[in-house]
Amino acid sequence: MTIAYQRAVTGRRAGRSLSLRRREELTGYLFISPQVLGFLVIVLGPIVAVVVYSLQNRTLLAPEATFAGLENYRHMVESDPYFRRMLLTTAIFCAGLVPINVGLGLCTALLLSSNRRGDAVFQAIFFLPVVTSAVAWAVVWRYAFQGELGPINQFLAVLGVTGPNWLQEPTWALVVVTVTRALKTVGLKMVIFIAAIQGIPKEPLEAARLDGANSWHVFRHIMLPFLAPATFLVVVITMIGSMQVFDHILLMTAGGPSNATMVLPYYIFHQAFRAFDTGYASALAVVLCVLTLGLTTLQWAVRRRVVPDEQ
Amino acid sequence: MFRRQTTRASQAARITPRIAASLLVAALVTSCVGSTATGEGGSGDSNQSVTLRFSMWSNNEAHVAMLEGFAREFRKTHPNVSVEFVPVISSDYLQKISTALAGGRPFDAGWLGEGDVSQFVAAGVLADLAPTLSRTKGYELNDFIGKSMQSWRRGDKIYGVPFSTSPFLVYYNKDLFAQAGVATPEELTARGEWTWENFRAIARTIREKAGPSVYGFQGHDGALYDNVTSFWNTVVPAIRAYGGSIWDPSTGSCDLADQATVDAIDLFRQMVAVDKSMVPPGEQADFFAGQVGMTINQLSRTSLLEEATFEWGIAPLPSGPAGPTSFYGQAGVVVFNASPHPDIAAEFVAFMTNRQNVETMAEFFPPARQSVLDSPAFRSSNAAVGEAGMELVADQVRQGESFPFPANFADVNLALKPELDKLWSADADVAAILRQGCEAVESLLTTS
Repeated sequence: MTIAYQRAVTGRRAGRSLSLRRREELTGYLFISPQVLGFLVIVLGPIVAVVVYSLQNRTLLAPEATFAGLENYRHMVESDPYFRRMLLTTAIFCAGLVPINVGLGLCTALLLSSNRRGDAVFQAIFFLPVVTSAVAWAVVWRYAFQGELGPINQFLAVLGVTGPNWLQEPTWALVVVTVTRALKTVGLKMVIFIAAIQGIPKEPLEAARLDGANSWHVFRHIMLPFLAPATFLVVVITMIGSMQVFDHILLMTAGGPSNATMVLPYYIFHQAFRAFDTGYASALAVVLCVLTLGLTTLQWAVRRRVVPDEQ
Repeated sequence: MFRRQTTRASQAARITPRIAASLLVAALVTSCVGSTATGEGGSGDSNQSVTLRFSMWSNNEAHVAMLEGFAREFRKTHPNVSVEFVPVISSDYLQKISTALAGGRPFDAGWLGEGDVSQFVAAGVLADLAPTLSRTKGYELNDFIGKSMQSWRRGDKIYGVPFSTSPFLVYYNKDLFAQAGVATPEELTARGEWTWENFRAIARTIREKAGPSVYGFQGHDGALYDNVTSFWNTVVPAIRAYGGSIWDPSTGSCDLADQATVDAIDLFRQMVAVDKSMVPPGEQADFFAGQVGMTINQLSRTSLLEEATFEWGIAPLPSGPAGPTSFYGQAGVVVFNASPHPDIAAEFVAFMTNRQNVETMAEFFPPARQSVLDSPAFRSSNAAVGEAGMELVADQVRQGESFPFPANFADVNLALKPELDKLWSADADVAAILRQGCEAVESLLTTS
């Protein structure tokens, strides 16, 4: 239709008003504007503010701040005695948590994806930790891992094993904190994997079995490639989540013993709310964000090779 | 000329964007106007109505009622001033007041723990109260026991007034003592034998007699291993009794490796690792649940014993080679510089810490004013503890001294904690560990 005819139909004079298409666009923008506004104010705004704060000498005790350039970053790399150790601890925590969490999620999904009687009950049970308060989770596990009166060591004593004082020995504390956090979200990954498994077409599986493939071959060569997109997603979100764990550390060990479980998010909290140095804390937060982003980008780049083309 | 033909759809397409747009604008306008800040009313003129916002960490009804009573009295001499008391959960307290400061909407005045004063003074956010206090008639600043102002003074400036000077005392479980057949602290004090050595022996006996789920001694708040402040609250009584000292932030010298200090801290190590009479790291046995024979804590914890299933008592801190000792922790009232009405806020602080009001507060908070400590009213103010107990408290306040808080306590703690964590094994070399602790913190020790 010509523009002239359009204008004739809608009765608007030429050049005066918006075309239908423009009006529809405007309507669309206005409808999404609350969400976008929320995003800008609540998400993007603070992120930009943190980047700006990281370039300032800013304290939590006053609203004014002076520009400091890259001073905070220089301090982090050159003179902070804790920074490197904390990066390492965070890396170990993530490297431990992701395989445990994703692996258990996949295993439980494989066991519970056949829609047998009782599967739903077990799925609900495994999902319970996901909906449990993180505070309650950490507090109860902390109680369980007490050195002498704790149920876990008492149980081990029955078996004749003397358990260590789990949360007071640096290495064990990190192990316990990693494993207990990994267990919490297994249910969520399980649900994602179940959905993915149930989306695998039956024909290749049946064909493979007819050809004499055993369960392991079926899993390794048929199911895994189909699960690759879901696995990729789960690994990425688990990794991102593991680099943000703070509440669990605070409640189980408060970064101890001997700073063995001091991960970067906890150190950021310490710098911001105990030492009141929000400029430095912001710089640490920027570094954490960049690291997380970098790892995610790396995984995206690797995705091409690992995840087969989806149909 | 065509007639205007508007279909319903195009009508809607014309109106809806306008409705949406106007709703959006309305939302933006109301959010920008927002809530008006109280306490804004110019620069504290006596003609304008002023509301002071006062932060506190207790939501105990009796405390709030008492403070509101002070506000009403203050209004009689300052008719345009009202005070709004804002209770904040104590675990969030520092965060709340610091974010209020950072956000440019600070409280006018409020409570502050003495451990935080140094950091706040170093940041320049506390107002100097000395001019207001000296010109308040009948205030009598000298009525405050000299040492009680230690944490709040910097030279001639006064950054806060302590409203609670709470000594650390030994709480003990009378039932467990009777069960173990050991002499009570009162009996030992009468004989002059209430020493740290006997304390240790009692803890060991209780542990031996009462079994594996009962301990002889628990550190302050059960948090001795997690929280450096609780560590100090537990060990400083022994350090002082042994004649040791910790550090001097004004000179930057660290005395942790001195023999007396080493001996005092080694006492606790032996109780944990050798006698096994002290609640060890990671265990959650609690005195207030009746599972431990003794603990060290402040008077305010008697509120946890209201429904205790056991008989309990309080006792002074044991004495050591350097004699008897006292140690207290304080909370004070401060005024924030960034308040819109610092002068009026300072006047209110002066009012609420005058002699009469300190006497009223003494029902809940041990006072630092000599005249109130000496009064019979104070001695009979706590029925659960009794007169003898309150006389003990008064005595401890008169003789005691605070902890020497450095300006950057958080950084010092972060550096010191990993060393302290190594103290608790049977073969730990306490002197070497404390020497390393000194090396870790010496460069950080400053006062504000």
